[in-house]
Amino acid sequence: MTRVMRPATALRVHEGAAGIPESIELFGVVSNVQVVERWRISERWWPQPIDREYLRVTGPGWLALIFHDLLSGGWFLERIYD
Amino acid sequence: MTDRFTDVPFAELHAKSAFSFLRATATPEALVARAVELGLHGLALVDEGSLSGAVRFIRAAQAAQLPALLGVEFEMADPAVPDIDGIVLPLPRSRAGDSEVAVLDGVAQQPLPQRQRRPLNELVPHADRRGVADAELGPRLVALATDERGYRSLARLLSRSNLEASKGVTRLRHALLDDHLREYPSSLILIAPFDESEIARRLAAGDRAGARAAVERLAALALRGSLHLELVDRQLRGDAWLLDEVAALAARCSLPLIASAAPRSALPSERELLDALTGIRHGLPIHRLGPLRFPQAETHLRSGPELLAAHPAWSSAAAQTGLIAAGADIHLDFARVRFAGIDLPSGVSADQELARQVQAGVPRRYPEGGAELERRIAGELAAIERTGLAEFFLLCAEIVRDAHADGIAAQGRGSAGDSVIAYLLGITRVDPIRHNLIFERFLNEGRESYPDVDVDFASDRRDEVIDAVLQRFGPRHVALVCTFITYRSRSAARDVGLALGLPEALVDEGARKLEAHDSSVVGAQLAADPRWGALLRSNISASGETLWERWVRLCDEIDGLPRHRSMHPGGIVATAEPLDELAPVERSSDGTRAVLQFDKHDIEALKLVKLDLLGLGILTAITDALDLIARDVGARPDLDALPEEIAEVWRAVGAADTIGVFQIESRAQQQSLPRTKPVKMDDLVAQVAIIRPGPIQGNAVHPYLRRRAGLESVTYPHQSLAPILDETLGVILYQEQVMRIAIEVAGFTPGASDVFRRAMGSARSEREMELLRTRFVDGAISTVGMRAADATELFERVAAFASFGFAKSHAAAFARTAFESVWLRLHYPAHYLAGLIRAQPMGFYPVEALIHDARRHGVTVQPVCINRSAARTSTEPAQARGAISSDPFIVIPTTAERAAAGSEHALSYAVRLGLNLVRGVGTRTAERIVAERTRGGDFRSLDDLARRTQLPLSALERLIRAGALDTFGAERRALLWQAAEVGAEIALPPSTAPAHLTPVDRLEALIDAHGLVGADPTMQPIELWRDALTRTGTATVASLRQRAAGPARIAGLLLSRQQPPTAHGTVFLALEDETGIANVTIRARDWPRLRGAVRSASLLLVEGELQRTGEVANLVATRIAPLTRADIKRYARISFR
Repeated sequence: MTRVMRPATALRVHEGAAGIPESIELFGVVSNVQVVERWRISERWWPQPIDREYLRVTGPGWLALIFHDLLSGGWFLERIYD
Repeated sequence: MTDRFTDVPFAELHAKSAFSFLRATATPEALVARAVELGLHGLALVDEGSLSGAVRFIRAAQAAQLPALLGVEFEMADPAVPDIDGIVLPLPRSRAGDSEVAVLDGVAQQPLPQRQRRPLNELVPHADRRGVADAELGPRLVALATDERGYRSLARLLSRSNLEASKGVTRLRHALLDDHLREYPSSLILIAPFDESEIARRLAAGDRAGARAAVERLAALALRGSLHLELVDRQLRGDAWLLDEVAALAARCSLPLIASAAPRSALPSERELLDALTGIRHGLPIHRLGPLRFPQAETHLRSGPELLAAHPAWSSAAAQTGLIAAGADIHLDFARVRFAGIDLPSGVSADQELARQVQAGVPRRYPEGGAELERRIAGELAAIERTGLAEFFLLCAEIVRDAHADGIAAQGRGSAGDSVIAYLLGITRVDPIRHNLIFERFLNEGRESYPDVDVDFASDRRDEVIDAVLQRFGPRHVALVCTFITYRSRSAARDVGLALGLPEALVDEGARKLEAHDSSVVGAQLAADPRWGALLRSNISASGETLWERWVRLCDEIDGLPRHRSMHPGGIVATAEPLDELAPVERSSDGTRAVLQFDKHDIEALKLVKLDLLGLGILTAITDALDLIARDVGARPDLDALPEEIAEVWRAVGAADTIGVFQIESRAQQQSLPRTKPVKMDDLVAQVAIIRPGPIQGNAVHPYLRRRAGLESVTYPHQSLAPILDETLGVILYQEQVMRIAIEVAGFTPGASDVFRRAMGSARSEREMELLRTRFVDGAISTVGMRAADATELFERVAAFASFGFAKSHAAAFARTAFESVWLRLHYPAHYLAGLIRAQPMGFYPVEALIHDARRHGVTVQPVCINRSAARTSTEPAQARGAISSDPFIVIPTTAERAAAGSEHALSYAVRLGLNLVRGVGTRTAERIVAERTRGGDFRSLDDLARRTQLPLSALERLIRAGALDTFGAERRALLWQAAEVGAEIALPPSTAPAHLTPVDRLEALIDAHGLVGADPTMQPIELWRDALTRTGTATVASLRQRAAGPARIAGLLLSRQQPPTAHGTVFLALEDETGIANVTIRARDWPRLRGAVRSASLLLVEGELQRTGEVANLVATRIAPLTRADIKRYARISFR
């Protein structure tokens, strides 16, 4: 089962060294996470810039796709696999 | 947190510059500067299929003391090991337009951009790669050189792969690489790029075995140990897995890894420009690029600590780069091999042979000899020996001598004219002693750059000269120099506009408004226009920057970046060692020539010497005219032997009767000649030098014109300048004068005076200027006792001039050719006209203007005729001489002058236009027609012509409409009717055309003649309107010559429209009627109102105010209207609608 957040949901993230999330607050629960993969997209600067760092993170029993909006500085949840 | 990585010696070994042409944004200098800022331990410039940035890069790196390496990223034409599944070389896609539109979740998906090239991996000419993503090309392999041996190997490898393919498509075969590395073992480091190597493609597809096999093949080629696998921090989804795969493979194969950011720009802020360049390269706006856009977010140069912060495990891969860079030792200096070998007699040095050839030339050039001559020869020979240029002079002399032996007109131009040695060797035709020229302007020991020798050849035979040089020294030793076409204001505006998807018409309008070349001032220029000012502030996007502001910003950023390579018009390099090891070569666009990937500045920096073999149309015209004269009258005039004092020549020059004359035919020249009235060669030299944009902009022209006309007394900034500026009436006009001022007034040595001249003419900082000023002023005070204030003022005058100075030697060479062309035009007008028509395109005027000018001088010009015309325009005995115009400014030699020139028989010849002038027929077909006529006699009918020549229907129709078949006595429309029958696939006997066909009228014939031949030699178009024009009070152009200032109206054919930047918006027209050519001026404020008519029609009625300056008349237009067909009617009311 997978849920896509549209629009992406704002997240509270506790960042460790190098800005990598160590824990996130998801649905009111704070969980430690591990980063599985990370990549970056920088797109569509011509009409509406998008500059995000995506991370696939695992928590207790779930996998989530979150991103760090490098323009606003906010963290968002885009998809969760449970 | 990056501090812990600062000890790792990281060098970036895969940086691309703008010399990857639209694939990267930074200049080599910008990359070096950024690398130094980032503390890199070295930098390798690795452009795609190109070494064009190499020389600039090495120079910049040496200046910054940064270890520098050079590489090339090759596209491979084949896989290293068999590629049965098409993993390495992508299969060709279906053609554009064939793809189906996919629908997903009810939304139509945008189709991918389609590749527009021919099927994959063919070595085809002109492969069109627009719309082809990098991943769709062959796999990549980087070859890296660390020292000069490696550089030579790299240049040779690139040259070989380039010469196997077409321009801009470097495709390297593994077999060629194998072959090359056997010849140059251990010369190159091979790097398998992370993203697009065969290894990466195989790993990405899960083909580990194939990847390993490819690694083993490449390692075997590279001699194991010099193949490296690359890790790049692209930050793309899925890369982590691929990076692990590459690292594991390297470990399994015991190969070293290198770390890289694979940058395409120096700074992060260049990302938008990179996308714009990608859009330009693919001919698509950015929003339609899709996967063609470089996907990674960060494409800029990065420091080792920054890279290692994201990938701490890469420290050994980063250290490996530093290790490689530590061995970098590339110095590009090929002075010792710069000349192709000249055959010298045994035991004779090049300097001795040069001295021998120079002395052999003395009796012909200076029969009277003299001590001054001997002194000058000795001085020049000594300077040539000290600079080691004897072979260069011998080479130039040999090329010119061989050309003359083959009947090809050749003459040196430019500063070589300052050398008496060049004159004695026959390279130039200008006597430097007669013209008081300074050798040091051409060559001196203080010069960092080598001298330029430019030789002009008859334009139609220039390629023969290049072929002869190629044959003489061998194809591996000779190549043409390239030029880099860089972005300037208009090209930047148009290309960036395309990339941003801006409306093409608006962008084009904006581009047309740009006058400065520099694209960094596009915004400033357009903001001055109220409409554009508003537009630039409109359409604000979410980023707060309007789309048009973004356009302006990107135009600024793209300014000066290279767009593509082109072939230099004549620059050629010949070297003793194989040239393809010294500099990379590639095919020209047409595939016939080898062209260097270096431009003339690079060649100079490499200390190679370039020779300019240029084509000059006037030499073709003169040669052809002389050939025709020799054929018709049995004697070939010796133009070299013409004395300078020929009265009719100076009469014609002073009357501006110079249409078709080299250098002094333009409207600006024609306006000034009646005021300056040159009467001797020195005057003509000045005339050639002064009517140019530079002097006009520098306000040097009017003082000279006023002094020539006696309206202003001749004064000198200082009495010590009188001997130097006497010949130009106190005005500084020549570069040689600047040097003489520096020598004679400020006490400079001749060599230092040339350094001073060049320093004054280039962009200088305030500090540099102050140093020059101090040295000049101090020198003038001590040398001639000039007051400090006077010396400072003189310095400022020299500085103002220096930016547009002209070499007198160059002007003198052109003036002599101008003089000879005036003489030919006066004494052999028919032959000269035939020569000019043959040499087209050239000169200021179209063929029809030349023809009607010759008619006004009494030359009969016959139309194209299938039974009389030769393949090319020629002369034939005239039935009758044409009438000479009553224009008092037309100069005709007197009988006595003709007798003196021996040209009495010339008047009995007319011009016959050639069959090749008929558009769509061409010279080859014309020659075939003439050959058949020679074999089988005159053509008797259309049917006879069609049968014997098998001409296609289209050619027959063109010949009929051009009037070439009028000789058959049938009306043109009837012939067209018949042509359709005889030209049919099934031959039909020609039938009689229906009687009711409307005959071709005079206007229709005129339009056909202009459309198909470029001119109607029997009628100037305005003659058709003349009756109606006369009745409505419209004057002829010739009558304006004697008319008083005041209102006037003329009509004419528009020959030229000029809007020089120096004229502040004023537009100048040249309008021709059957009596002459008039100057029409449109003031800047009237141009918006009148331009509609000027741009929409070529036959114009112009009303305005006639202004006179001495003998020069100008009509300042107030109203302009097109002449129409209806206006021809007898009772038409020609008016301004």
